[in-house]
Amino acid sequence: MSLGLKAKLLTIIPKLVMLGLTRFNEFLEEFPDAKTRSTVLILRDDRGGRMAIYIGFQGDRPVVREVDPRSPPRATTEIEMHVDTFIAVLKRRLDFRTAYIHDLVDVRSNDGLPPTYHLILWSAFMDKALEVLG
Amino acid sequence: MIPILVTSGKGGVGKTTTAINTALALAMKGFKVSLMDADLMDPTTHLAFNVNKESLREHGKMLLPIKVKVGEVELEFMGLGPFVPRGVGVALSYEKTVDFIITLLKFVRWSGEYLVIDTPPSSLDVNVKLFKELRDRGRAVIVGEPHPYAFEDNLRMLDLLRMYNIDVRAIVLNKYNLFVRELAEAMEKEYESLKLKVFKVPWDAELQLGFKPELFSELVEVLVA
Repeated sequence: MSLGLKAKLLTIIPKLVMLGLTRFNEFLEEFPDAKTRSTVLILRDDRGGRMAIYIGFQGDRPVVREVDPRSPPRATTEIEMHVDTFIAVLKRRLDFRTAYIHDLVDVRSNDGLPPTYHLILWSAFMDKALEVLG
Repeated sequence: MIPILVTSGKGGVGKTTTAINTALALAMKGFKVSLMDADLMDPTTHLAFNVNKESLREHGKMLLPIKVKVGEVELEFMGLGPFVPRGVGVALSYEKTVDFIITLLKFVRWSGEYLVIDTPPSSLDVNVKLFKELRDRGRAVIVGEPHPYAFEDNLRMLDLLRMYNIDVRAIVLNKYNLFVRELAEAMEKEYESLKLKVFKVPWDAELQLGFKPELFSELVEVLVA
């Protein structure tokens, strides 16, 4: 992975996602089928650097791990964005939904549901995660 | 479920007002009614019901429509509006717009006997996609003002809807009393010759302030017949 300093800092993302998942029980009340889904989150930079994080479940236990972006495991959803977009969302300078509407976030579906459907789920999850992250 | 498209050749002629009040008038007649805001460029229907994004829920890999209550009647509602932050320009590509519409049509657990759909104006390609989805089973009402330009646009819309075998039953001529009477009457006759039932809705300040489904109860009779 040819990552710059910013991208290296982003290696803490799996921990951030795990932290965000502490509100997952609340999220599951609204979207109970989320446990049956998984996501590969792909972040890229301007120099061709990419990192990928797998987010899924083993039973009731959330699994978050960095994976090889060249051959990520199959997930029900793939979400890809520039690292700057992701940072802007984490800093609440950019709304995740707005980023999607303005083509800053790509959502791909691998389970037959429309990408929009996954976007709605992810947006709700991001809301909860950002509450935890402050 | 019978879809009822509320559509028009021009924007800003009162489609959303007509869709909301038609849905309420249907519900007041005892029907179970769902209301979908498919106007993804300018979603506003949710504003009438104070719906927000926190209301979204899922069950069985389907989104649950949001229950809204007006007086004694209840509707199901879903649209893009609650999802998009206020003041954000909606710059959805054709593919994303169609994906949103498919999500709203097929991945929301609608349970109404009638699904009233507030559509984007004009013969935009997303409208064509929607008409194709509802081909042979949709009903429609066109909304317009009695203005010559609106008339021309509505003729195109009527042709398009009928091309997809959507049963266009009526036209609502909004703000009827604000236009040149002779012109309005001439257009009324033209619409009737095209086998459309004409409903004249006068400009009414109360429609801007709240709901007035009683103005649309005769239209509903035609739509459910």
